[in-house]
Amino acid sequence: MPASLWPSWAEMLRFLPEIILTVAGTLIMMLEPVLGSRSRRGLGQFALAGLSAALAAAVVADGSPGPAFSNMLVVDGFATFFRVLVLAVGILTVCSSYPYLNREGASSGEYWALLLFSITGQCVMASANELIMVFIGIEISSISSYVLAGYLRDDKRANEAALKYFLLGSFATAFLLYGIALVYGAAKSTNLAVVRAAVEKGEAPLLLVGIAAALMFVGFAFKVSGAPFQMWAPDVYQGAPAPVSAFLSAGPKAAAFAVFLRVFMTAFQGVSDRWAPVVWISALLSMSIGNFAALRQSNLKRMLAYSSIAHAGYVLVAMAARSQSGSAAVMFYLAAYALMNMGAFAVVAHVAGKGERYVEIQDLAGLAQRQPLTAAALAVFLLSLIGVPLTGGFFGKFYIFKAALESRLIWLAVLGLLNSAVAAYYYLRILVVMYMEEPGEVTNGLGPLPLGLKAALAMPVVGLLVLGIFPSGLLDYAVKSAKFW
Amino acid sequence: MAAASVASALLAVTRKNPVHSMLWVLTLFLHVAGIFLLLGAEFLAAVQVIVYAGAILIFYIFVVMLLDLPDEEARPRFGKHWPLAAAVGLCFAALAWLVRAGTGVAPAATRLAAEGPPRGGLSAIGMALFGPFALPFEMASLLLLAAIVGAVVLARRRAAGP
Repeated sequence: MPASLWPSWAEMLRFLPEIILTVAGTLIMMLEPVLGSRSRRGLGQFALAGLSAALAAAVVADGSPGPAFSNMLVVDGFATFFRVLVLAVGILTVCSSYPYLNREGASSGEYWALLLFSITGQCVMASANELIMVFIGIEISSISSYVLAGYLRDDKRANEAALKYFLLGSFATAFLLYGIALVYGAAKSTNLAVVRAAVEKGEAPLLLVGIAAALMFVGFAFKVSGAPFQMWAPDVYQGAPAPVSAFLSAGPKAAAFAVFLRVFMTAFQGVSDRWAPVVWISALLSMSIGNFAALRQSNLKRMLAYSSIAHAGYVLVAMAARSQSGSAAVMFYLAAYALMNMGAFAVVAHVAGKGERYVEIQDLAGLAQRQPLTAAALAVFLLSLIGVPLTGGFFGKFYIFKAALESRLIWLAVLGLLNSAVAAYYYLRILVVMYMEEPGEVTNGLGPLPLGLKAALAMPVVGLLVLGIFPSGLLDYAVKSAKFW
Repeated sequence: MAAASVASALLAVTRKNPVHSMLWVLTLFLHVAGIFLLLGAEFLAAVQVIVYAGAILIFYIFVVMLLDLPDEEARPRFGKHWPLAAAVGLCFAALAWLVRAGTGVAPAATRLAAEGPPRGGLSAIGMALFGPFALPFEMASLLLLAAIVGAVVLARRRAAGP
């Protein structure tokens, strides 16, 4: 075998997070049958250890940036940012899933394994430098997510969610794959840098590149639940187990935005005049549809689903800016958004009770009197979702609209701000129910907060306050690494 | 070869008996394998015969046999929308004709010709698969693993508890 076929140690190091996750996931599956029912509960801690090790590896890998495995992957600041983000989302998901699975009496081995595989896929997406890797990463992430959404097999809603997610997701993947095939036909390569060069030199036929970009836009917009491809999100987030909904709305979405940004800012940079209006329209539609539909929801999970569509719209505003500060705003916003959404869903998972019977907004009545700390945490998440100062959500929105104004997208910024005003109404309604109303049957019967959920609430609160008071550290990193050329 | 594959594809969708349809699909696969062979892609031809004709088709026939055949035969062979489907198919054929090499939409054939004949041989595929494409190849196995685990999770009987 020629020596060049064997990867160097530096390349292995750059791929270390994915290796750790895969090994941990496989080990969990092999350990589950041999462990007794008591020690099986330790598998959650094992998954947590695997994720933490991968997180450390991702940070270490950042020390030796560069491409790996014949340019299939690239480790740069951008990749590290999203790897750390999805791994942190994974840690929060494990914390909030652990008490949830115990409560529902569901077996957990495959759950942790699929969760780790899904995060592996997202790490691959974050560092992919090649459309083939983009596709494989998205598929690993999605297929595991489809199963996680339907993990509680005896729940009809979960089944519906999983089936819808699977059918529509496969359809969207087909669009993406067709786009990739056309890129290969036009540019004779699927490497992002090579495609970019071919497009800029005019070697690739513009018509084909345009069609390919449009098809890939459909695929990515589906994965980030951007309008008009958002129809699946409310049903899936409502039907899936609450910790899985939290995961779906943060992890796969952040990773999908990472590839979306990387592919469109590298490979299709040369035709950015053509795709910018499409992103503009999609941003406006997502914000308006998400916010106005969320106004009318009484189900908490469904409302958070529509709000997540609206937030995808805000991120698309920053993408439409097509600038370095726009890309940095995308990164900052996704980090803040992941924290606040994970936290809000963790509260829902707690209040919902066994079998998720209590997921109406009215069920939160008087939460502040019975469990003031839980209510305070939810208040922080909701204020951050509105974009109130001192929370991470404020600076997220601030940087997005600043980037939009710098790129002269004045109308989009104005419409976005109006949309956030609309959104404040339905978030504040929850606060009113929680703080102003007398405790009802649900909040009176609420058990104490389990340890896992305590962690899943405390970490995002701290993170959001840090981002809201000292945003410059993360933002400087984002600005530095949001370079694609 | 091409004419024979189109003919067997047409026969496959028009036969009333699903088993006959499957057998026509089998001849279709064999003819496509022949086309691959003529293009110098021996490996693809072998895969076409072994995987598609050998494994996937047997699986289909298995499923067809398990279903209720007489009921299937009694129903009309086509749904209501078949003229629409046929029109879409013809549009695709027309587009393929329009973008054939030389009309400027697709990359010109000369560019391919300049770089020598396409390499579809066994060693070329092996070198590509274990050289530059080793990582996607390995990651695809993780993808399959996740899919298998997922299928087992969803299909197994009621779990015995935590």
